[in-house]
Formats: sequence, C-alpha cells, structure tokens
Amino acid sequence: MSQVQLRGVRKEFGKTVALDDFNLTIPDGSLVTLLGPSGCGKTTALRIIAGLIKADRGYTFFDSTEMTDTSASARDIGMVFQAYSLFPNMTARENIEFGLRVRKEASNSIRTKSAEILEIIGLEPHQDKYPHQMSGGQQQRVALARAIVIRPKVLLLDEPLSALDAQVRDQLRDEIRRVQREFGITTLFVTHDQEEAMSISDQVGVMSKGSLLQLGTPESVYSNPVNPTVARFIGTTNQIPVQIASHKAHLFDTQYEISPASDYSPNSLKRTALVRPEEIKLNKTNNDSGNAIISAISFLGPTSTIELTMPQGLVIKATMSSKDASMYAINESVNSSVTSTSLLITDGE
Amino acid sequence: MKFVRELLRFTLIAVGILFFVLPIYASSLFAFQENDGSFTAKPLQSAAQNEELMESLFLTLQIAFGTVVLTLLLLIPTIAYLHLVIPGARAWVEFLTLTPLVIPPIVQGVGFLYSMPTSFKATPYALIFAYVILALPFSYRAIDAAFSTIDIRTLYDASRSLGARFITVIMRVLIPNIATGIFGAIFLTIALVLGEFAYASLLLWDTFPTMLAVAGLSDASTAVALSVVSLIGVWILLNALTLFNRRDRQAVPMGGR
Amino acid sequence: MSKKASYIGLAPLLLYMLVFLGWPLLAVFRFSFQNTAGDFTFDNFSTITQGVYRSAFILSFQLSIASALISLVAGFIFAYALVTSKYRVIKKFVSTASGVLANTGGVPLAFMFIAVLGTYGALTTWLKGFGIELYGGGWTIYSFSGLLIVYLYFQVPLMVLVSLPVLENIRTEWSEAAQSLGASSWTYWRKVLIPILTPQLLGFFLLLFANSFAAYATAAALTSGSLALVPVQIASLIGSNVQVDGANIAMALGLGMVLLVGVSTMGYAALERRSSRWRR
Repeated sequence: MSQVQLRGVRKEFGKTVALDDFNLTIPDGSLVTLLGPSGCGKTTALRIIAGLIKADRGYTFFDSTEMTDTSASARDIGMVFQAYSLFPNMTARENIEFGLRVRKEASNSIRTKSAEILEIIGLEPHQDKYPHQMSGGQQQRVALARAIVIRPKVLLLDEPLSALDAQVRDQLRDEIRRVQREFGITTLFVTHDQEEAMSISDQVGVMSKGSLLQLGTPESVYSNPVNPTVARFIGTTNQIPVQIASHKAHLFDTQYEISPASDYSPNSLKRTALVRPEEIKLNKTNNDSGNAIISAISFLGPTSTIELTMPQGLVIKATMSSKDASMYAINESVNSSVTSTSLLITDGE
Repeated sequence: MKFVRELLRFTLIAVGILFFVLPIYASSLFAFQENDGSFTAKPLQSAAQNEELMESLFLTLQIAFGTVVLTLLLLIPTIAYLHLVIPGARAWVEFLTLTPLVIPPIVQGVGFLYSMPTSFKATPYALIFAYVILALPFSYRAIDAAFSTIDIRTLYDASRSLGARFITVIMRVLIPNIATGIFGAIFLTIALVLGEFAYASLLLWDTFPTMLAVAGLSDASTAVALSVVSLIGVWILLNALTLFNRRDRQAVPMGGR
Repeated sequence: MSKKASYIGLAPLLLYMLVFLGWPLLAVFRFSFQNTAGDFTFDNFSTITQGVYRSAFILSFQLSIASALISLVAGFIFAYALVTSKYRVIKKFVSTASGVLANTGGVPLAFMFIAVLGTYGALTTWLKGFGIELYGGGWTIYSFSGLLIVYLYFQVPLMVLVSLPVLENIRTEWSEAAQSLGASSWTYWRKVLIPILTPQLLGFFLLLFANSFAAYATAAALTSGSLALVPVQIASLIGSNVQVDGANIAMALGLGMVLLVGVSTMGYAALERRSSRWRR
C-alpha cells in the first residue's frame, strides 16, 4: 500500500482547464473521496493517478517514487469503472484471475486467491457466469474483486455505483468500505453523490471547476465548510437574508458573530446567511407573535422537516426529531432562532 | 511510444485511402487527359454520340423507373399492413426478404431464363420484375425501418381517438416520416439497376452495363470515362441517401459485381 | 379477422416472391436433375465434380478464400486504425466511401482497373519509367492475381463497412481495465479483443467468401470469360451452342453455387446473432 500524492497538477482539454495547480495527498491505507458535480475535474484527477491520462504539468507520487511518466500498466493499481469494464469473453472467475495471470503467478496460487476473494465478495455461486448473465450489482462486485485480488498499491473507483439501483448501491457501498478496511488499501473514490461520499470516507475532497475547495473529514466538511460554495454543495442549507452592522449579523432579533469562512463583499447590498435546517430552533408562542408561520410538516421517520414561512414570504426548513415536531401544528405562529453562535454569510441575490 | 502509434495509424489510413483513390485518379487521367497533358471531355462527347450506348442508357433508366414503381407499389402497402395488423410476423418476413441475397444473381438469372414463358422474355421490361427481387433485401429494410421509427400502431390509435383528423395525421406525419425510407429504397434500387449485369447479359438485353462492356472492347477511353462517371454518380446517390437517412443503419446494395 | 386469416395481407408479396424467385429457383433445381431428354439423373452432378468444372470450383474457391482472407486482415487493420484515430471527419468520409466502393463492381470497376494496370495502364506506364516491367514476366491484369487485386477493391471496403460498427462497440473500459491490471497492448489483443471478435471475424470471412464466390460481372467484364470461374462457366454454358446438355450442367453448377453461397451467408448470419448478446 502506498501514499498517493498529486503535486501541482495541471490538465487542459483544448480550451477547458480541467485541473489547475491541483494538490492532493491520500494517506496510506485511507479512503479519500473526491466529491463534486460533473466537469469538476475529479475523474481527470483519478485518471492521472491511474496513468490513463498524462498531466500537462505536475507530478504524481506513490510514496516517494515518482510515477508521473510511468505507464498505467506498470503502476500496480486496481481500478473499478462505472460500468462495462468486465471482459465479456471471460467468466467472473476468469475476469478476476486476469490480473494474476498477467503477473505470471503460479496456477495454484491464482486458484487459491480467486477462490478466497470470491468468498469474501459473496460471488462463489456466480463464478462461472459470463458478464451478460449477471446483474449490474454482481458485475460491479466482480470488478471490485478483480481489482483487489492483485493487492494493488492503490485502488481507484470511478463512480462505481452511479449506474446501479438505489438498493444495490447502498449494499455495495458498504461492501466496498468493508473490503477496503479489511485489506487496508489506499483508495481514491470519485462520485457526485454526497451521501456516498460522507458515509464511507475517511476524508472528503470537495471539488469545483478544477480546484479542490476543501479536504477534510466528513464532519468537518459538513460542519465547518471553508466557504459558502462548499456549504451549499454539502447537505441542504437555508438561504436567509441578513443585515450586517458593526461586525455582527442581525437575524431573528438576535445578533450573531460572523463566521470567518464567510465571503461576502463589503460593497454588496444584500447579504445571505447559510443556515442548516438542524440549526433552526423553534419556540412555541401562545399567540400570533412569532416570526414565522408553519406552512408544512413532513414526517420522515426519526426526523421531521417543518417548513416555515416568514413575513416577507421567505420559506425556510427546519429539521428536528419527530417527537419535538409533534408539538407543532400547521398555521401555528412560532419563534424561530438559530442555535449556533456564528453565521456563515455570503453575498445575496 | 504514443507518437509512434499515431504515426503508424496515420500511415495505415493514408495507405488505405491511397489504394482506393489511386485507381479513380489514374483512370480519370486515362480517360480525360490528352497526350499533351490537357484535359478533354471528348470521351463523354463520343459516348453521347454513340447511339447504341445512349439507347441502352435510356432503357436502363426506364427499367430503373419501373423497378422503383413496382417495388413501392408492392412494399408500402404490405409493410404498412404488416406493422398495423400482424407485427409479430415482421421477423420472419424480414428473414424471407433476405433470401435473394443467398442466391447469386447469375443463378437467379439462369433459373429465370428457363422458367419464364417466351412471350414474357421477349421484352426487356421483364427485367423489372427480376430487379424488384434483387433489390428486395435492401428496399424492404429501408421502408421497414422507416415504419418502425414512427410506431404506426400508436399513431393509428392516437389518431383514431381524435376522430376525423385521421387523414390529416396521415398526410402530416405518416407520409413525411416514411418519405425517408422511401427515398432510401429509391436510391438503393436505382444504384442497383444501373450496375446490374448478370441478368441483363444472360437474357441478352442491351442495358447500359452490358453495352458499356461492349463499348469497352472498341473504345477504351469512353468506357473508362463512363465508368468513372458512373462511380461518381453512385457516390452522389449514396451521399444523398445518408443525407436522408440521418443515422439509421443503412443497407448497402450489392449489385452488378 | 382471425389470426390465420390476417396473413392474407402478405399474399401479394409472398406470391410475387414465389413467382419471380421461387419458380426460377425451382427450374434450376429441376433442370439440374435432368438430362436433355428430361429424364431424372444425377449425371450433371457427377459431371461438375470432374474436369473443367471441378477446376472451375477450385479456382473460384481459391479466389474467394484469397480475397476473403486478405480483405479480412487488411480491412480490419484499416478499420481499427480509423476507429482509434481522433479525426471524426475522416471516419465519416471513409465510411461513406466504403459504402460506394463496396457497391462498385462489374463493368465500371473492370474498366477502371484496365485503365490503371492494363497493358497501357497509367500505373503500368508509370512503373515502366522506373524500369519495372509489370508485363515483362507474362503477367497480365487478366490473370488470377490481377482479378484478385480487382476483387479487393470491393471486398476491402465491404470489410471496413461491416467492421466499423463492431469496432465502435468495443468499450474503451475494456482496454483501460486491462491496462490497469498490468496487461500490455499485445496481451489485451490476444486475451480480450481477438477472442471477443473472433465469432464476428469468422462471420465476416464467410460473408466475404460468399460475396466473392457469387461475383460475376467483374470477372466477365475484365476477362471476357477467359478465367474459368464457376459463374463464368455457367454463363458460357448457357450461351453455348456446342454443349448439348449445357443448360443442365449449368443448373447443377448453379445449385452448387447456391449451396456454397447459401451456407456461407447463413453461417455469417448465425455468427452475427450469436455475438449480438454482448452488445447492449
């Protein structure tokens, strides 16, 4: 297993700059996810690490060995693609054994290893099936097994779950994490799905337009977004107009500190605070004196979302335990406030 | 290493293209270039003056026209019926229409010669009936594909629910859509007839291809000139076909080899 | 309308095919089993397996296998180079050109090649300028190898035409996955690409073989019947006044052709269907 590093990587495709001065370190044995919308450069970064694309500038390192000019087949990596990557002329087992055969391992060693991984992945009954005889989920399992059985230095997963049904996706997602932990392989996972990223990663790298906005644990990326772009991308946020005076934000008749991650400009006329639904607290009023009216209550099981309409027509959402939510009724006037002491402010529209 | 590959790729493609462009270029020179290097249209002029040749061309064009008309008359109603009433039969009917491909035209021609009544064989226009068969695999597919894309069943049901608007739907949607297929079938058929040799020579008719062969024995330049022109003509026809055909998979006619 | 009765709509087409395809075919069948007197006999079939006719089959066979093999390899390499190149324009251009050339044949083709490689052809003359005498050793364009070269002119484009869609269906993921697993290009070709393509390549070979065997016009126009291929033999027998039972023998030859071409084409169709299960 190796630590993976990208240093100062730049890649252009014609006029589009896919990556610009991109730096990333994937610690040995950890699972890092690059998260971002289509076109943000995450797949490009992955393919540069794989050696399938050559960067225009910058370096790739596995531990202290420079890999920048090494071909993909010499890098000792394992890769799982979104779909269609199994060799259609081989059975599941033959697919899995392919990498081992290329490495000219002894026959009995190959047989043992493939049998072992088939059991771990739970594909033993399907080992003699051809790809077109298997479901999408089974195929991706085989692809994963094929990539892992060779004990690569780095495991690269390019949106492996995107083409699968929701239920299969969840199962396989946990499977990937389990296997990765068990073998301790340094892994890079690329996806546009937040939930995937947050649930299995040691670290999440949020990307946009060729840059890495923030790299950190799922918790830190969620709770301490380094700028409003990240905050808006991860989870849901309410966008509430605020006033700023003497370095404090005024909202709901309360003064709040301004988070250092804020990026509003001094000249902008309008400012917006980004507030997470779980940070909105409701207080009962006994009359109509509240600052918001409940317009909808959605029961989601353990939690509920309450939709509030402000006097100016703004709609915000608050999330709380269903037990707490049961105290309220539609059209009730309530007092809403924010639980955190500082607000993340950005320019408003 | 990547550069070497690109170079190899480029060379291969270049060599391939050269191999196929060269004969066209060389024969154009042969036909249209004088000994002093200037260009002349004389071969074409002498072709135009060659009465027999022009007559055969006229005959071939007539036969082409007849084949096209008969093909459309036969296939359009049948295919429409097939799609509307018995769509399940489409598979084996398509398979059936491929049978002419399996029997070489020369063999079909011989069989034709020895089965058709003499009175029928006395007219060159008998070739029309034979050519419809030869073109069948391609013309059928062209028209069938066009009908498939418009899902005539849904269209029929939808228009029925609209009542009297049925005729309008036919005019506005059905016809324009299958027009693509119709044009495809027409072009493919014409290309086939213009090149068909086996049948015509067996039945001893002076169609354009057979007369061209005769002309070649005496006047090489004219023959080559016409050959080049007919090649370019087919190219224009097939390009027109791709224009109409968008990106549908197109059947290529095999005629007159 | 009941299910059975609804098939009546197909009557015109079926009847037409019966009359203008079925009946001629029946005639071929009938005559091949008859002698000039009209009696039933197998004689025609024994005749065609000997002497001149046997040579004709062998010659046609040789020509078809040779042109099929060469076109298979050359056409495939060319198509592969095309598909992997970045220039879409060239691909489109070559694709339509292949459509034209695959359909080119017979008389125009023959004359064009005479203009190029004939005794006074453009290429022949040009090579003479370098001191290369094509016709010095007795070779002519009207020989077997000459005809082979001409046949390539419509065979290779046919191969390119049918190969392009197949090659485009080759997933880039396969070669990338192979690379990521440490395989060289050669290993990828050997263990993945060729095995996947083999059924279709075999089918294409059969298609090319059938196409070449059935071809008549090119040989007729080029060699004026001097090269004794099966279709040429058939035509000459029909046109001849010397051979009394010429028609019967020709029919037998024809039936033999149908068998060969028919089996080849069916083989091609079957292999095509088999390999379509990989395409989704």
